Amino acid sequence: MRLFLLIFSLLATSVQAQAPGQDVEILARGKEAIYKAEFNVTGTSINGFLAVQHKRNDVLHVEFTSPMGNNLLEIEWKRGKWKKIYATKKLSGKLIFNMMTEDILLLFAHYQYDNGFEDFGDEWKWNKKTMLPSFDEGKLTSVKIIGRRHHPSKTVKYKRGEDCIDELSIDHQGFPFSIVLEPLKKK
Amino acid sequence: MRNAIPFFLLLVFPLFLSAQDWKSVAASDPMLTGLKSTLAGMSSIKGDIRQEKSFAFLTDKLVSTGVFLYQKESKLRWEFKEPIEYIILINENTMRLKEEGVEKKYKGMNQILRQVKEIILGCIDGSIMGNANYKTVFSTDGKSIRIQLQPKEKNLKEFIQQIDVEFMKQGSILKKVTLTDPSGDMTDIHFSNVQSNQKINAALFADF
Repeated sequence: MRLFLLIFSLLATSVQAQAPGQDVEILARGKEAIYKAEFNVTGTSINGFLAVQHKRNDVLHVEFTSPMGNNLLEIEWKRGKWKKIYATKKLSGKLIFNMMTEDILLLFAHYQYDNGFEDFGDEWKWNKKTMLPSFDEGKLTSVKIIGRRHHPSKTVKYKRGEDCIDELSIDHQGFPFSIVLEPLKKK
Repeated sequence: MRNAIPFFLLLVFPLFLSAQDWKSVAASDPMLTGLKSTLAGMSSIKGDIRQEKSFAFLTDKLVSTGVFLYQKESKLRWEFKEPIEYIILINENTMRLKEEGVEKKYKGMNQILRQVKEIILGCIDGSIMGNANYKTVFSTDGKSIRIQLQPKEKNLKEFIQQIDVEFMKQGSILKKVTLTDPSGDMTDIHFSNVQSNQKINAALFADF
């Protein structure tokens, strides 16, 4: 009986990690990329580059730098928590920082590796939010994130080219906050 | 173990030699007064820039290339053409930015931009050498003069840990600027085809 339960739980885990025929990988494990980035934070447009490394399934290292090269933000997602390594004043306020870090996990679909992520097929649950993914030819094209009031609170979109993602974006409904990323080197 | 010691020395010796290459120079050294007076005599400077940003956690570097134009006093056009078009235009007290054809408003980012302006202009015209906001160390390897600057004030330290500026001893030509972030990440700006006292169209500082 125990063996049967073990096999069943292993099968359930593998199904949850990735639904068959659906590609939700944005930056594969072990890969790194640099994106042209535009952060719109409450009316201020901050442009620069976002460097991202998907080190392990529980580790995502992110740095946002200005075109002149100076650091604006450096953060690391490790074992389910963000560690702030550096953040410029404009990005270090609690509300903005929490919103931005959650958006980065959403953009890179890194929530799928979090223990709290649940896959119910057409609907996902993560961090007390309901997520409605859309696919085109098995590839993730958008995710609507519905907050507690059951209204769409933000939308992640993936513009796909022939063999890569040309643009990733997240936009908040009813709040002036958005992030747009374009890869410099197509992966 | 006996075999390991010569191998260790072999590894360490080049580092030791490299560390010895730069010898410190007093602020009153004629080499530095000569550099300051040559830079003071330059009415304009222009050249190519290649900026390499290293990330401690990435194998790739972010490389940006472009040109810079400087006209005395305080007029600068700093233009990246790759990987994105990005222009900083400084005309005395005004500073404007354009990215990929669109002029940007940087409300809330003024402090960072003020620091960027002070550092870029200071490195090009050499005025950063006398900037009281930095602790300064001068050195030379015989061919180049290096100025290492560390900010004294807390708000500057939050922005930058160290600035290294290198000039060619011959001709006092700007060679390289290295900016070290508080996180330890480094940005190297290499200058090439640098020409001084050439006529530059004033319109290039007035508008994009």
